[in-house]
Amino acid sequence: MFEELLDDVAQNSAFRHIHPGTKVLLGLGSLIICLVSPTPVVPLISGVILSLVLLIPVRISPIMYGELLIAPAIFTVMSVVVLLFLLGGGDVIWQFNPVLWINLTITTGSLSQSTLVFFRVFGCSISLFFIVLTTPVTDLFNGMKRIGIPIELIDLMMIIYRYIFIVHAQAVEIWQAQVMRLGYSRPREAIRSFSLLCGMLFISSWNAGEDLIRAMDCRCYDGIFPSLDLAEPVQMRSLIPVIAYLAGLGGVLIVMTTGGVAVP
Amino acid sequence: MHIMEGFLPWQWCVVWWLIAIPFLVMGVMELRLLMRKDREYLPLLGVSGAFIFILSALKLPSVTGSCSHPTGTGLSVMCFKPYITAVIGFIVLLFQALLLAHGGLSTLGANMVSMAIGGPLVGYGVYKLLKNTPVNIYVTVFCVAAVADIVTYVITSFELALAYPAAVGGIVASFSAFFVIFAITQIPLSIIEGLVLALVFKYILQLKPDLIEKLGVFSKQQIESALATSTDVPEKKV
Repeated sequence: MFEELLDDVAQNSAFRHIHPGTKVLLGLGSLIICLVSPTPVVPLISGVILSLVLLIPVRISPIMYGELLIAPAIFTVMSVVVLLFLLGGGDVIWQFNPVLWINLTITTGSLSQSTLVFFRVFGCSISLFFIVLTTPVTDLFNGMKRIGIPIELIDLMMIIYRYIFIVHAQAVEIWQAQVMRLGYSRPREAIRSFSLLCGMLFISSWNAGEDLIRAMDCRCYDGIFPSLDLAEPVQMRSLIPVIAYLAGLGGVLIVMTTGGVAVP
Repeated sequence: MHIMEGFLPWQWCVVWWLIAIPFLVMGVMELRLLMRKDREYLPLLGVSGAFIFILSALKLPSVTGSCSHPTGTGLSVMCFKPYITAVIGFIVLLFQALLLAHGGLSTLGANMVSMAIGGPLVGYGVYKLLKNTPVNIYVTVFCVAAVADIVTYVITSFELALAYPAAVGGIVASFSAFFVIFAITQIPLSIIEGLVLALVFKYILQLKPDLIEKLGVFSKQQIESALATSTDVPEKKV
């Protein structure tokens, strides 16, 4: 069960009133630069700068931010260890060959590629965190409408987004009631309780959908949800630093790749 | 388990996005057609999508001691067919990235191909194969859910192997390494997800059989025969 939605943090962020396009430009721009970078230096710089932006001007709680980073960090370390032994190229740094069919080798090539993957995940994840911690999903819906995403897809997203909270509240209530009745005390009981929980959720979701149709019919629903776009206008004082930052990061990328500093 | 943001090289992100987009476009076109036919479809699909999101955020008890999440794609593909499942899968994966920081935007195409397209397509094939046979419908649901889940992890392993072929043995060795790592936990979990979804289906049939009939998942005759053989009636309120 998820304890805290990142959208709640975005709703209360200090960057809430900056135009969503500016924030998405910064997040996606740095994500793309980190992704195409053949050197770990660019994602490292991007990750550190965006983390400082999130912690100081955006005022994200350091504890919450640390918790957010733990899960990707664990997964990345595990995956990078696999890549370290899987990939090859270059000279052998370390070798472990206890039996004939087990040969664990770390080479200079595998080390440099694994380092690149580690820092690329770091830089790209923080770019994504920047978007999710500063831009509420409702602002993204309005942005999607402006760039011409099919209205049916956006309407479906809006209904799913709204009902996530309703279905989640029901799931928590049922789950707590089951835990109080020792519903998850034994493996067999746990599978039965979990199935009952899912079955009840499906039925109650469907009933909620039928209620929604009746409620929308009362408001002359004709297949499209009209919504009010209350986004602030694009402000030069926020757009110029974003463009300057992306140009700087792009410049570092070009220097690192053309100046012979890139990791092979 | 999704491939996380930045893990795949950009070339592979583009390839998987290019494979996923046609399915998404077909799904939106099918959604448009269905909405023209029955305008009640969108709200019902919306709440079902929310249900699948919650299902994938719930922790599933595991025999290995760890926890994982059901994908819900097996249930979705039987109820809404593959193209609509691709749309729901896209939205669920996007919200998981934006609301829970699971997965990512650059890897959304790759995650869609494994979880919202590949797994459900094979699951749908199993459903079509078993639907009109004397096989018990709970067994059909179990097979669809378990196969969709396993295929999802096979495709994820393949995506990782293509991006990072092993120095010795190439893509095949890399695929074996990734799949073995996944298989330790995911094969038992796929079986548990199949069992859970079969039980979910049983409870839905016992409490609201008209819902399954309305969705056209199984015929009225199949539902009646399944209900006649089922003896364990759950409590109405949990």
